[in-house]
Amino acid sequence: MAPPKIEQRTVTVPLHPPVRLFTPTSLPQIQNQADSFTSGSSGEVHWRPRQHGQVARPASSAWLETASEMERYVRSGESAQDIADFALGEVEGGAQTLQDTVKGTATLIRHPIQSGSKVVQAVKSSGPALLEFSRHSEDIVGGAVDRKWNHFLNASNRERGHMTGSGLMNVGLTLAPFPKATAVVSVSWKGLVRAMPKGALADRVLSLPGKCYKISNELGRNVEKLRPSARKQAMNYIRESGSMPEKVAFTPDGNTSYFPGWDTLRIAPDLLPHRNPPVGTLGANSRIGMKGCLAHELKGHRAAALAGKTHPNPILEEAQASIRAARYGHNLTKPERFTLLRDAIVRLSEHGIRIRDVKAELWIHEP
Amino acid sequence: MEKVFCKTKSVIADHSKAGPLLDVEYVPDPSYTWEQVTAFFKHGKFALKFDGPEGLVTVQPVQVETATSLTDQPGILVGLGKNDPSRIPTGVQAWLEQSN
Repeated sequence: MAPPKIEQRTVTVPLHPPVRLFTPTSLPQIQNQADSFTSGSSGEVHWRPRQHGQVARPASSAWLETASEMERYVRSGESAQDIADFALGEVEGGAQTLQDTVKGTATLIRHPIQSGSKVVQAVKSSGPALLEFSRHSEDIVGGAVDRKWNHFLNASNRERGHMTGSGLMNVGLTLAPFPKATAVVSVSWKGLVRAMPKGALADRVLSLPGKCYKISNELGRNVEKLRPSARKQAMNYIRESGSMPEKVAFTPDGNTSYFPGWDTLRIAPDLLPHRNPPVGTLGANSRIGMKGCLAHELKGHRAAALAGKTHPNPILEEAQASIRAARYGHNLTKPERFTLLRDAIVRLSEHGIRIRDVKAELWIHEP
Repeated sequence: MEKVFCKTKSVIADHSKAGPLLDVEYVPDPSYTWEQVTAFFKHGKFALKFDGPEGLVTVQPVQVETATSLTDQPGILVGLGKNDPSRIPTGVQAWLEQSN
């Protein structure tokens, strides 16, 4: 039986600068479809309908590659120090990209009218290229959806997890209760990054409007009362780690935290991770396990307090605690250390801080 | 900043220097950031006050210590010193202010 005949059409349109939409995810999907758009030698773009049987390029391939590379690195037997150095340099970019994607999507959803009018303006100014897109939009959009779906079907379970988790986190963050404060902080920081010396950036966090503290993600951590077995495990871990505070108190609610002035550790239900934590960098905080949480408090906050190295900037102090826990935490597995590192990176990137700009200020180079 | 509102919970430990440690829930005030609250408690002496059945109850002097959790949630402990913890009911709206 002869294969189905594929209609081959070539439409030549002038090359226009890419049209900037508000959703960073949308435009790359169209631009990256090498099987739909090909650049001609005379500065023209040739558009062809998608052909069946072509291998779809993953829409978020860069992010997945980064994640895979990180996992390979973790499994290669490198030390926690190496993992930390790798993560500090490489992951930050991916986290920032994802954050920008989330913000763009959030803007579109929260301000559909304004966004819609900007899209209309963009269409008007884009000329024939967009006109051509509009004529064949069904094919292009259909192809994009097809590719996404096929990629999902063909992906490994781990990749599916990444895609699903990231998608859920995007939705969660889109519905965040303080969207405008987040946007203000983000925009302010981008401006400061351009205008100020890098070393001074971290100190300006406190001068931004609104609250600097907010929950790390919408899922949070465990909220159910700790069982006696969990309490026992926690106490055993604290004893084994050789970092016993003067007082350790369990509470049925509230949050796990270390009070440096009284060398007191309060342990609450959020000692444990979320019951169904998301995958992906943005959900790192929800995934930190019991040992990681205790290491964050003891090897992070407590050790720094005892050494007089508590960072005056609370955001940097939290990041420092997570990095210290990842590097020096007692008896942690590599995934646990890696999750802590991710948590530190997300904390900083949520405030527009690049870890490479502040790591010299952090007390993370000695146990 | 004059006062920080909170809701009393329970005594979670007995500290050698600070006395009974009363766990309280921080009630956010939109006028102030958590950073300003922590700075407020860094210096000075404080009093815990609440409205009792027979009028205003003042517990002083007390010490106050703040912390932030892994999920960036604020936490406050009140060191009651030599004050009797049984004077403080659970779940009442209270506030902390500087005492002379």
